[in-house]
Amino acid sequence: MNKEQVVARLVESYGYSPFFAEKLVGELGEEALSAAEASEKPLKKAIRINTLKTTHRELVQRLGGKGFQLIRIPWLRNGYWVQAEPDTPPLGATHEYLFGYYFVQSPPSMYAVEALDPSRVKQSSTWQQVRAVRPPIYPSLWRTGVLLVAVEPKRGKVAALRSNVSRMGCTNTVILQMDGRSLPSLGMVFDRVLLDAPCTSSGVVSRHPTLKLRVSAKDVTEQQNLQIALLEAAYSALKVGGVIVYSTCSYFREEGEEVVGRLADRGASLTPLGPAG
Amino acid sequence: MQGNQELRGILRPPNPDELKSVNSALEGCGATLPAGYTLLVHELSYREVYAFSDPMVLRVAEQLSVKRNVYFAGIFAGSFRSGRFRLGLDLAEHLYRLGHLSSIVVVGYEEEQRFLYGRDLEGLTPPENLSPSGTVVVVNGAGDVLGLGRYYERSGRLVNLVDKGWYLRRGH
Repeated sequence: MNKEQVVARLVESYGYSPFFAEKLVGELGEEALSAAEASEKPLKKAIRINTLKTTHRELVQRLGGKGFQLIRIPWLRNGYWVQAEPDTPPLGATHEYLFGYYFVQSPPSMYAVEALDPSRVKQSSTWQQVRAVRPPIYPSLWRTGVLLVAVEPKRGKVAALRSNVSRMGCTNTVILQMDGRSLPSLGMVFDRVLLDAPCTSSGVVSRHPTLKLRVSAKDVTEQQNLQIALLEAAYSALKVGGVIVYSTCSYFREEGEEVVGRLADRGASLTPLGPAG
Repeated sequence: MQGNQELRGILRPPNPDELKSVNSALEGCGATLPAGYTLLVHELSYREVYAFSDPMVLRVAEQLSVKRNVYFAGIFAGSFRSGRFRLGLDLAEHLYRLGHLSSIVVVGYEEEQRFLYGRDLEGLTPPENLSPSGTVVVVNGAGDVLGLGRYYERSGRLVNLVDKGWYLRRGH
Protein backbone atom coordinates (compact mmCIF):
# COMPACT_ATOMS: atom_id res chain seq x y z
CA MET A 1 0.00 0.00 0.00
CA ASN A 2 1.48 3.38 -0.91
CA LYS A 3 1.32 6.48 1.28
CA GLU A 4 -1.74 7.94 -0.43
CA GLN A 5 -3.63 4.68 -0.03
CA VAL A 6 -2.83 4.46 3.68
CA VAL A 7 -3.96 8.07 4.17
CA ALA A 8 -7.19 7.38 2.27
CA ARG A 9 -7.84 4.29 4.40
CA LEU A 10 -7.30 6.25 7.62
CA VAL A 11 -9.74 8.91 6.43
CA GLU A 12 -12.40 6.57 5.06
CA SER A 13 -12.27 3.64 7.47
CA TYR A 14 -11.15 5.25 10.70
CA GLY A 15 -12.53 8.78 10.43
CA TYR A 16 -9.30 10.78 10.62
CA SER A 17 -9.07 14.20 9.04
CA PRO A 18 -6.80 14.31 5.98
CA PHE A 19 -4.36 16.49 7.97
CA PHE A 20 -4.13 14.04 10.90
CA ALA A 21 -3.96 11.03 8.56
CA GLU A 22 -1.08 12.51 6.58
CA LYS A 23 0.83 13.40 9.74
CA LEU A 24 0.32 9.92 11.15
CA VAL A 25 1.50 8.25 7.96
CA GLY A 26 4.43 10.66 7.82
CA GLU A 27 5.50 9.46 11.28
CA LEU A 28 4.62 5.80 11.15
CA GLY A 29 4.33 4.82 7.47
CA GLU A 30 2.12 1.81 6.91
CA GLU A 31 2.17 1.10 10.65
CA ALA A 32 -0.26 4.02 10.97
CA LEU A 33 -3.00 1.53 10.13
CA SER A 34 -2.05 -0.71 13.05
CA ALA A 35 -1.92 2.35 15.31
CA ALA A 36 -5.35 3.44 14.11
CA GLU A 37 -6.75 -0.06 14.62
CA ALA A 38 -5.30 -0.20 18.14
CA SER A 39 -6.79 3.22 18.90
CA GLU A 40 -10.26 1.91 18.18
CA LYS A 41 -10.11 -0.17 21.34
CA PRO A 42 -10.23 1.25 24.85
CA LEU A 43 -6.89 1.42 26.62
CA LYS A 44 -6.12 -1.46 28.91
CA LYS A 45 -6.50 -0.30 32.49
CA ALA A 46 -3.56 -0.12 34.82
CA ILE A 47 -2.86 1.02 38.37
CA ARG A 48 0.15 2.28 40.23
CA ILE A 49 0.47 1.08 43.82
CA ASN A 50 1.12 3.78 46.39
CA THR A 51 3.90 2.26 48.43
CA LEU A 52 3.67 5.12 50.92
CA LYS A 53 0.45 3.61 52.23
CA THR A 54 0.35 -0.06 51.32
CA THR A 55 2.36 -2.94 49.94
CA HIS A 56 2.08 -4.83 46.66
CA ARG A 57 1.07 -7.99 48.44
CA GLU A 58 -1.62 -6.39 50.56
CA LEU A 59 -3.24 -4.46 47.73
CA VAL A 60 -3.20 -7.36 45.28
CA GLN A 61 -4.85 -9.49 47.94
CA ARG A 62 -7.47 -6.90 48.87
CA LEU A 63 -8.44 -6.04 45.32
CA GLY A 64 -8.34 -9.73 44.42
CA GLY A 65 -10.92 -10.33 47.12
CA LYS A 66 -13.20 -7.87 45.33
CA GLY A 67 -12.83 -9.56 41.95
CA PHE A 68 -9.98 -7.54 40.44
CA GLN A 69 -7.28 -9.56 38.77
CA LEU A 70 -3.97 -7.72 38.72
CA ILE A 71 -0.96 -8.71 36.66
CA ARG A 72 2.41 -7.13 37.42
CA ILE A 73 3.79 -4.99 34.60
CA PRO A 74 7.31 -6.41 34.42
CA TRP A 75 9.03 -3.22 33.29
CA LEU A 76 7.57 -1.00 36.03
CA ARG A 77 8.34 -0.98 39.74
CA ASN A 78 4.80 -0.37 40.98
CA GLY A 79 2.55 -0.92 37.96
CA TYR A 80 -0.13 -3.55 37.43
CA TRP A 81 -2.42 -4.34 34.51
CA VAL A 82 -6.04 -4.77 35.52
CA GLN A 83 -6.71 -8.03 33.76
CA ALA A 84 -10.24 -8.52 35.01
CA GLU A 85 -12.60 -6.44 37.14
CA PRO A 86 -16.02 -6.92 38.69
CA ASP A 87 -19.17 -5.06 37.58
CA THR A 88 -19.02 -3.18 40.83
CA PRO A 89 -17.27 -1.36 42.43
CA PRO A 90 -15.58 0.50 39.58
CA LEU A 91 -11.79 0.69 39.69
CA GLY A 92 -11.93 4.39 40.56
CA ALA A 93 -14.39 3.98 43.43
CA THR A 94 -13.18 1.13 45.62
CA HIS A 95 -12.49 1.88 49.24
CA GLU A 96 -8.82 1.16 48.56
CA TYR A 97 -8.90 3.88 45.91
CA LEU A 98 -10.44 6.32 48.37
CA PHE A 99 -7.81 5.41 50.94
CA GLY A 100 -5.09 6.34 48.43
CA TYR A 101 -3.63 2.87 48.09
CA TYR A 102 -3.40 3.16 44.32
CA PHE A 103 -3.73 5.55 41.44
CA VAL A 104 -5.35 4.69 38.10
CA GLN A 105 -2.65 5.58 35.62
CA SER A 106 -1.46 4.51 32.18
CA PRO A 107 1.86 2.63 32.05
CA PRO A 108 3.55 5.29 29.86
CA SER A 109 2.82 7.88 32.55
CA MET A 110 4.35 5.60 35.16
CA TYR A 111 7.32 4.99 32.90
CA ALA A 112 8.05 8.71 32.63
CA VAL A 113 8.63 8.82 36.39
CA GLU A 114 10.86 5.78 36.36
CA ALA A 115 12.88 7.41 33.61
CA LEU A 116 13.31 10.38 35.93
CA ASP A 117 14.86 7.92 38.39
CA PRO A 118 14.07 9.87 41.55
CA SER A 119 15.71 7.21 43.72
CA ARG A 120 19.08 8.53 42.64
CA VAL A 121 18.48 12.02 43.95
CA LYS A 122 20.74 12.50 46.96
CA GLN A 123 19.01 13.25 50.21
CA SER A 124 19.96 16.67 51.37
CA SER A 125 18.66 19.64 53.23
CA THR A 126 19.87 22.26 50.81
CA TRP A 127 17.74 24.51 48.69
CA GLN A 128 18.98 22.93 45.51
CA GLN A 129 17.61 19.46 46.19
CA VAL A 130 14.22 20.05 44.70
CA ARG A 131 12.40 18.99 41.61
CA ALA A 132 9.48 20.28 39.63
CA VAL A 133 6.78 18.22 38.03
CA ARG A 134 3.36 18.60 36.63
CA PRO A 135 0.52 16.27 37.60
CA PRO A 136 -0.42 13.45 37.73
CA ILE A 137 1.35 12.81 40.96
CA TYR A 138 4.00 10.26 41.69
CA PRO A 139 3.95 9.14 45.31
CA SER A 140 7.22 7.25 45.22
CA LEU A 141 8.97 10.58 44.84
CA TRP A 142 8.02 11.54 48.36
CA ARG A 143 10.45 10.79 51.13
CA THR A 144 12.15 12.71 53.85
CA GLY A 145 14.85 15.09 52.72
CA VAL A 146 13.45 15.38 49.22
CA LEU A 147 11.13 18.14 48.17
CA LEU A 148 8.81 18.00 45.20
CA VAL A 149 7.57 21.22 43.66
CA ALA A 150 4.51 20.66 41.46
CA VAL A 151 3.60 23.38 39.00
CA GLU A 152 0.19 23.65 37.33
CA PRO A 153 -1.42 26.79 35.93
CA LYS A 154 -5.07 25.72 35.65
CA ARG A 155 -7.31 26.12 38.68
CA GLY A 156 -9.35 22.98 38.07
CA LYS A 157 -6.29 20.82 37.59
CA VAL A 158 -4.43 22.26 40.54
CA ALA A 159 -7.42 21.48 42.78
CA ALA A 160 -7.46 17.89 41.53
CA LEU A 161 -3.72 17.66 42.10
CA ARG A 162 -4.15 18.81 45.68
CA SER A 163 -6.85 16.20 46.26
CA ASN A 164 -4.57 13.49 44.93
CA VAL A 165 -1.64 14.67 47.04
CA SER A 166 -3.90 14.50 50.12
CA ARG A 167 -5.37 11.12 49.22
CA MET A 168 -1.96 9.61 48.61
CA GLY A 169 -0.59 10.86 51.92
CA CYS A 170 2.25 12.83 50.36
CA THR A 171 3.81 15.26 52.81
CA ASN A 172 6.86 16.72 51.08
CA THR A 173 5.26 18.67 48.30
CA VAL A 174 4.67 22.30 47.48
CA ILE A 175 2.04 22.96 44.81
CA LEU A 176 2.35 26.20 42.89
CA GLN A 177 -0.41 27.56 40.72
CA MET A 178 1.67 29.20 38.03
CA ASP A 179 2.75 28.97 34.43
CA GLY A 180 5.71 26.62 34.08
CA ARG A 181 7.32 29.12 31.71
CA SER A 182 7.99 31.27 34.80
CA LEU A 183 9.92 28.52 36.58
CA PRO A 184 13.28 30.38 36.44
CA SER A 185 11.68 33.34 38.23
CA LEU A 186 11.48 31.20 41.39
CA GLY A 187 15.22 31.50 41.74
CA MET A 188 15.52 27.79 42.47
CA VAL A 189 17.73 25.10 40.98
CA PHE A 190 16.28 21.62 40.52
CA ASP A 191 17.96 18.23 40.46
CA ARG A 192 15.28 16.70 38.29
CA VAL A 193 12.44 18.06 36.25
CA LEU A 194 9.62 16.03 34.79
CA LEU A 195 7.98 18.09 32.09
CA ASP A 196 4.66 16.45 31.32
CA ALA A 197 4.00 18.95 28.58
CA PRO A 198 0.60 19.92 27.21
CA CYS A 199 0.24 18.52 23.68
CA THR A 200 -2.21 17.75 20.90
CA SER A 201 -2.81 14.31 22.51
CA SER A 202 -2.54 12.71 19.10
CA GLY A 203 -1.28 9.53 20.74
CA VAL A 204 -4.36 8.98 22.86
CA VAL A 205 -7.09 9.01 20.24
CA SER A 206 -8.57 5.93 21.88
CA ARG A 207 -9.42 8.11 24.89
CA HIS A 208 -10.48 11.15 22.88
CA PRO A 209 -11.87 9.96 19.50
CA THR A 210 -13.00 13.45 18.48
CA LEU A 211 -9.33 14.40 18.15
CA LYS A 212 -9.26 12.51 14.85
CA LEU A 213 -11.08 15.43 13.30
CA ARG A 214 -10.11 18.25 15.65
CA VAL A 215 -6.31 18.34 15.60
CA SER A 216 -5.15 21.01 13.18
CA ALA A 217 -1.85 22.39 11.91
CA LYS A 218 -2.49 25.45 14.05
CA ASP A 219 -2.82 23.27 17.18
CA VAL A 220 0.48 21.56 16.45
CA THR A 221 2.27 24.88 16.01
CA GLU A 222 0.72 26.39 19.13
CA GLN A 223 1.53 23.38 21.26
CA GLN A 224 5.07 23.23 19.91
CA ASN A 225 5.69 26.86 20.80
CA LEU A 226 4.40 26.27 24.32
CA GLN A 227 6.42 23.07 24.69
CA ILE A 228 9.64 24.79 23.59
CA ALA A 229 9.05 27.63 26.05
CA LEU A 230 8.33 25.20 28.90
CA LEU A 231 11.36 23.07 28.11
CA GLU A 232 13.65 26.10 27.94
CA ALA A 233 12.30 27.30 31.28
CA ALA A 234 12.87 23.86 32.81
CA TYR A 235 16.39 23.74 31.41
CA SER A 236 17.17 27.18 32.83
CA ALA A 237 16.08 26.00 36.27
CA LEU A 238 18.03 22.73 36.11
CA LYS A 239 21.27 22.30 38.00
CA VAL A 240 24.40 21.40 36.05
CA GLY A 241 24.36 17.63 35.67
CA GLY A 242 20.62 17.49 36.37
CA VAL A 243 18.05 15.49 34.44
CA ILE A 244 14.91 16.54 32.58
CA VAL A 245 12.40 13.98 31.38
CA TYR A 246 10.27 15.42 28.61
CA SER A 247 7.01 13.61 28.08
CA THR A 248 4.01 14.08 25.81
CA CYS A 249 1.26 11.83 24.48
CA SER A 250 1.70 12.84 20.87
CA TYR A 251 2.97 10.95 17.84
CA PHE A 252 4.12 14.09 16.12
CA ARG A 253 7.79 14.86 15.62
CA GLU A 254 7.06 18.58 16.02
CA GLU A 255 6.05 17.92 19.63
CA GLY A 256 8.83 15.46 20.38
CA GLU A 257 12.15 15.33 18.61
CA GLU A 258 11.92 18.88 17.28
CA VAL A 259 11.26 20.26 20.76
CA VAL A 260 14.03 18.43 22.59
CA GLY A 261 16.36 19.11 19.68
CA ARG A 262 16.40 22.73 20.83
CA LEU A 263 18.22 21.68 23.99
CA ALA A 264 20.92 19.93 22.00
CA ASP A 265 21.65 23.33 20.46
CA ARG A 266 22.24 24.58 24.00
CA GLY A 267 24.67 21.79 24.84
CA ALA A 268 22.33 19.33 26.54
CA SER A 269 23.00 15.64 26.17
CA LEU A 270 19.90 13.81 24.90
CA THR A 271 19.05 10.20 25.66
CA PRO A 272 16.07 8.71 23.82
CA LEU A 273 14.36 6.29 26.17
CA GLY A 274 12.90 4.06 23.51
CA PRO A 275 10.05 1.66 24.09
CA ALA A 276 9.53 0.59 27.67
CA GLY A 277 10.42 -2.93 28.62
CA MET B 1 -13.19 36.01 60.57
CA GLN B 2 -12.00 37.05 57.11
CA GLY B 3 -8.42 36.47 55.97
CA ASN B 4 -6.00 39.39 55.92
CA GLN B 5 -6.09 40.92 52.41
CA GLU B 6 -2.57 42.34 52.66
CA LEU B 7 -1.15 38.96 53.51
CA ARG B 8 -3.23 37.03 50.96
CA GLY B 9 -1.27 34.05 49.65
CA ILE B 10 1.49 34.33 52.25
CA LEU B 11 2.48 31.44 54.51
CA ARG B 12 3.23 32.70 58.01
CA PRO B 13 3.65 31.28 61.51
CA PRO B 14 0.41 31.08 63.50
CA ASN B 15 -0.26 33.80 66.05
CA PRO B 16 -0.76 32.76 69.71
CA ASP B 17 -4.56 32.62 69.39
CA GLU B 18 -4.39 30.47 66.26
CA LEU B 19 -1.86 28.17 67.85
CA LYS B 20 -4.08 27.81 70.90
CA SER B 21 -7.05 26.87 68.67
CA VAL B 22 -5.03 24.29 66.75
CA ASN B 23 -3.62 22.74 69.92
CA SER B 24 -7.06 22.66 71.45
CA ALA B 25 -8.44 20.82 68.38
CA LEU B 26 -5.59 18.34 68.53
CA GLU B 27 -6.15 17.74 72.23
CA GLY B 28 -9.83 17.34 71.40
CA CYS B 29 -9.08 14.09 69.61
CA GLY B 30 -6.29 12.95 71.84
CA ALA B 31 -3.58 14.01 69.45
CA THR B 32 -0.21 15.63 69.82
CA LEU B 33 2.07 17.09 67.20
CA PRO B 34 5.42 15.27 67.28
CA ALA B 35 8.55 17.24 68.08
CA GLY B 36 10.07 18.89 65.04
CA TYR B 37 6.76 19.55 63.29
CA THR B 38 5.99 23.15 62.37
CA LEU B 39 2.71 24.83 61.50
CA LEU B 40 2.18 27.63 58.99
CA VAL B 41 -0.99 29.57 58.25
CA HIS B 42 -1.94 30.20 54.62
CA GLU B 43 -3.82 33.43 54.21
CA LEU B 44 -6.65 32.98 51.73
CA SER B 45 -10.22 34.26 51.74
CA TYR B 46 -10.17 32.08 54.84
CA ARG B 47 -7.14 30.66 56.69
CA GLU B 48 -5.72 27.20 56.10
CA VAL B 49 -3.10 25.60 58.31
CA TYR B 50 -0.38 23.31 57.01
CA ALA B 51 1.93 21.10 59.04
CA PHE B 52 5.51 20.39 58.01
CA SER B 53 7.55 17.45 59.16
CA ASP B 54 10.54 18.30 57.00
CA PRO B 55 12.43 21.58 57.61
CA MET B 56 13.42 21.83 53.95
CA VAL B 57 9.81 21.68 52.74
CA LEU B 58 8.89 24.24 55.37
CA ARG B 59 11.62 26.64 54.34
CA VAL B 60 10.95 26.39 50.62
CA ALA B 61 7.18 26.75 51.05
CA GLU B 62 7.62 29.81 53.23
CA GLN B 63 10.04 31.46 50.83
CA LEU B 64 8.04 30.63 47.71
CA SER B 65 4.89 32.02 49.26
CA VAL B 66 6.38 35.50 48.94
CA LYS B 67 5.37 35.28 45.27
CA ARG B 68 1.85 34.40 46.43
CA ASN B 69 1.33 31.46 44.13
CA VAL B 70 1.61 28.64 46.64
CA TYR B 71 -1.59 26.62 46.34
CA PHE B 72 -0.82 24.01 48.95
CA ALA B 73 2.15 22.69 50.91
CA GLY B 74 3.05 20.01 53.45
CA ILE B 75 0.20 18.32 55.31
CA PHE B 76 -3.27 19.84 55.48
CA ALA B 77 -3.79 20.46 59.19
CA GLY B 78 -7.17 22.19 59.03
CA SER B 79 -8.81 25.53 58.43
CA PHE B 80 -10.36 28.45 60.24
CA ARG B 81 -13.96 28.95 59.20
CA SER B 82 -16.08 31.56 60.94
CA GLY B 83 -13.26 31.99 63.42
CA ARG B 84 -13.25 28.33 64.51
CA PHE B 85 -10.50 25.89 63.71
CA ARG B 86 -11.54 22.59 62.15
CA LEU B 87 -9.00 19.82 62.21
CA GLY B 88 -8.13 18.42 58.77
CA LEU B 89 -8.34 14.73 57.96
CA ASP B 90 -4.84 14.65 56.45
CA LEU B 91 -3.10 15.62 59.66
CA ALA B 92 -5.42 13.45 61.75
CA GLU B 93 -4.59 10.42 59.60
CA HIS B 94 -0.90 11.27 59.65
CA LEU B 95 -0.89 11.43 63.46
CA TYR B 96 -2.98 8.26 63.74
CA ARG B 97 -0.45 6.40 61.59
CA LEU B 98 2.38 7.71 63.75
CA GLY B 99 0.56 6.58 66.89
CA HIS B 100 0.14 10.17 68.06
CA LEU B 101 -3.66 10.13 68.14
CA SER B 102 -5.70 8.12 70.61
CA SER B 103 -9.36 9.02 70.07
CA ILE B 104 -10.43 6.32 67.62
CA VAL B 105 -13.62 4.51 66.77
CA VAL B 106 -13.57 1.22 64.87
CA VAL B 107 -16.55 0.39 62.67
CA GLY B 108 -17.71 -2.71 60.79
CA TYR B 109 -18.08 -3.10 57.02
CA GLU B 110 -21.70 -1.93 56.76
CA GLU B 111 -20.97 1.16 58.84
CA GLU B 112 -17.86 1.74 56.71
CA GLN B 113 -19.99 1.79 53.56
CA ARG B 114 -22.45 4.25 55.06
CA PHE B 115 -19.80 6.50 56.54
CA LEU B 116 -17.95 6.73 53.22
CA TYR B 117 -21.22 7.89 51.65
CA GLY B 118 -21.13 10.85 54.03
CA ARG B 119 -23.72 9.49 56.45
CA ASP B 120 -23.83 9.59 60.24
CA LEU B 121 -23.79 6.32 62.17
CA GLU B 122 -26.09 5.21 64.97
CA GLY B 123 -25.95 2.76 67.82
CA LEU B 124 -22.20 2.41 68.12
CA THR B 125 -20.59 1.15 71.27
CA PRO B 126 -18.59 3.87 73.02
CA PRO B 127 -15.01 3.99 71.82
CA GLU B 128 -12.12 3.64 74.22
CA ASN B 129 -10.02 6.72 74.92
CA LEU B 130 -12.84 9.02 73.86
CA SER B 131 -11.69 12.61 74.17
CA PRO B 132 -13.86 15.17 75.96
CA SER B 133 -14.81 16.85 72.66
CA GLY B 134 -15.93 13.52 71.21
CA THR B 135 -13.86 14.03 68.05
CA VAL B 136 -12.67 10.68 66.74
CA VAL B 137 -10.76 9.23 63.83
CA VAL B 138 -13.02 6.61 62.25
CA VAL B 139 -11.24 3.46 61.11
CA ASN B 140 -12.34 0.06 59.84
CA GLY B 141 -11.24 -3.30 61.17
CA ALA B 142 -8.16 -3.31 58.97
CA GLY B 143 -7.05 0.04 60.39
CA ASP B 144 -7.83 2.06 57.25
CA VAL B 145 -8.78 5.63 58.06
CA LEU B 146 -12.30 6.44 56.85
CA GLY B 147 -12.69 9.98 58.17
CA LEU B 148 -13.32 12.16 61.17
CA GLY B 149 -16.46 12.14 63.29
CA ARG B 150 -17.91 13.42 66.51
CA TYR B 151 -19.24 10.79 68.86
CA TYR B 152 -22.11 11.61 71.23
CA GLU B 153 -21.98 9.24 74.18
CA ARG B 154 -25.57 9.69 75.30
CA SER B 155 -27.11 8.80 71.97
CA GLY B 156 -24.35 6.58 70.60
CA ARG B 157 -24.49 8.67 67.43
CA LEU B 158 -21.41 9.32 65.31
CA VAL B 159 -21.73 12.49 63.29
CA ASN B 160 -19.74 12.48 60.06
CA LEU B 161 -17.44 15.52 59.98
CA VAL B 162 -15.42 14.52 56.93
CA ASP B 163 -14.87 11.21 55.16
CA LYS B 164 -12.78 9.84 52.32
CA GLY B 165 -15.76 9.47 50.00
CA TRP B 166 -15.42 13.23 49.70
CA TYR B 167 -12.76 12.76 47.02
CA LEU B 168 -15.29 11.06 44.76
CA ARG B 169 -18.22 13.28 45.65
CA ARG B 170 -16.09 16.29 44.80
CA GLY B 171 -15.33 14.79 41.42
CA HIS B 172 -11.60 14.18 41.76
